Amino acid sequence: MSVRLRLRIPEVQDPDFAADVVFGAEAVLRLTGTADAKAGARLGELLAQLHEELQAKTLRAVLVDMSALDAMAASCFNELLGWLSSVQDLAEAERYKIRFRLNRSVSWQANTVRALSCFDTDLVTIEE
Amino acid sequence: MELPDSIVQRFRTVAVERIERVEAAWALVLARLDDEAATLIHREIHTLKGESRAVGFTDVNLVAHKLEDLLEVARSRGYAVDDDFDLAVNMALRFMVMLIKKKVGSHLGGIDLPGFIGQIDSILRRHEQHHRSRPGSVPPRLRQASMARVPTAVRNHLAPVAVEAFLEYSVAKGIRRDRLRGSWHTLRDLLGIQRAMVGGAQFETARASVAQLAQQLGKHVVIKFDVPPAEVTTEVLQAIDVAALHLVRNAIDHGIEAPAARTAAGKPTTGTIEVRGAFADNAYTFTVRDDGGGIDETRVIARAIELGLHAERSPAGPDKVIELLCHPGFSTRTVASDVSGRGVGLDAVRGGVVDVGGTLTARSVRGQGTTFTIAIPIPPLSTTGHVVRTPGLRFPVVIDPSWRTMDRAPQLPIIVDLGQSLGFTPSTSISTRVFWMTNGTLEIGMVCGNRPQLVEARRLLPTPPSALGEIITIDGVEGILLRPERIPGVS
Repeated sequence: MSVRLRLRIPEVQDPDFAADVVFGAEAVLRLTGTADAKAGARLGELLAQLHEELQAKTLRAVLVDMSALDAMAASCFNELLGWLSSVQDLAEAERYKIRFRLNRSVSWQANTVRALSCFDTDLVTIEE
Repeated sequence: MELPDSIVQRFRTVAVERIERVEAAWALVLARLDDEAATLIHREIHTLKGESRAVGFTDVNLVAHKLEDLLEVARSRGYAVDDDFDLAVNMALRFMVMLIKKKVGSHLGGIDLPGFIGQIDSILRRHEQHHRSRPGSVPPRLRQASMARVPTAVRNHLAPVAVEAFLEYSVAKGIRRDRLRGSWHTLRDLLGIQRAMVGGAQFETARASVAQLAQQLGKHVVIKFDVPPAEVTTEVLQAIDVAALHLVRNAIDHGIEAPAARTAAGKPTTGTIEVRGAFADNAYTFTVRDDGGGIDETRVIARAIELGLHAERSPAGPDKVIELLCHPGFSTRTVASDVSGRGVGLDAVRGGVVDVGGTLTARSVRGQGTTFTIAIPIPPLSTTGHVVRTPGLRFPVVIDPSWRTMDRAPQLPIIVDLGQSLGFTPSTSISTRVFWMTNGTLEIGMVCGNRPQLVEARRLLPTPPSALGEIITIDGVEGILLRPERIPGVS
């Protein structure tokens, strides 16, 4: 039986954005709505929490589901890149893989997010 | 030669600091259009590019080079860039940080530098194509795809609506932006002006067909073109194409006499057709003149009476004659040949000209020749006005050219907040300033993010002066031409 733990970013004033983490057979970070600049700090906190949880649970994969993410400010995107950097800094045995699930019908995702895998092809994969 | 570790380490430290400064400045430029921050960005990246080459970080050098290309595109658009472009710049900066760090020994073996460069190149290509395809005109390919021809009256009616669609699209994000982009592009492609050049080589190809037709009819004809290149809309170009075709054929067939008749009339055996085009006073004038026998008004009237188009005792002047010649199906020939006689030539000419708001007139002197004149009003396709930008708006706003800047503050100024005037949130940025402007009657303080600068804007969707604004382009970037006197509360 999988354990499902849902973390919601607290006190994000923008009702257009939500970020949930569900732990099951794999961890799923689901980003929904419009992540504007105000959400950046909270998203950073959530990613730091997630990073710790994944190491504590010795999970080796996480799915970042962006298929319902309408827009993302650069500050939020940089939080994702910072998170990826944190994974790269781990010892090899502690690293986990990140799969980004994109919505190719959303142009900014199709145009730019695909480049995320170029940061580390060993750790990052893109699925559409 | 390997550099001492101390130099490489120094580069790493300084390079990351540079990138962090650029990240902060980039956010500032997008939020506030800060000129100093923009200058800093370009300077820092250029320096980083040089330093990275010097210390052997060729991968950083390569990404910095690509980033410079991205930044040049952003600068050319006044930093009014889409979200994906913003992300690409941020990613390039972070990618460089990663490359700079990689030689410290952390795990970074999976870096796909060629893949990343390829992604940047594809973004650049997309923006370059976007730029090339919109030099202030709807690309013909798109117009052809829609196969729609919108009457001028409908275009005038819908152009203000298109402004609303553009504004909503411009401020939307994510899926809403994608959806509205489609709506806006449909409107733009359907309604927007499509430009073309009239004149030049366009008519040179007609020389051969003129010679062929003249030979077929046993006439000697020389044709002279004086049609300097001029920018018009494609609808006008089509109307002129049709007019040139029929008027020249008519001149050869009906106007220029056979050599024997010309000799008998004391004329050279070779007839002359002169085709002229000129653009002046917001109108394009196109004339086709021949030195033939002129219009036989008596014969035209007689034929019109035969066809029941004219009563015997009705007055018949030159205007009536041209009216009859342009009547659908009217021809003085009773038998149609493969050249003329079907009565569609002048009808087609006038129909095309009237469709674009023009007129067709004719002046004919018996024995001396005929001149057909087409006059088509063409609103200015470009305008020069002050461009202003404001934080939060991703597009440039050009103030109508009837407004000019003032050095002094008016006594009772009306303050116009650019964002609020266009229906968005009033600007609360500390970087906005007030610039004084007047149209000679009204004096306003314009709240915006930069000192207004004169630019040439190309009109994409002209609206009448009574409208608040219209869509223009500056170097291919879509924006708004704003008429401040139409803002509620200003006048």
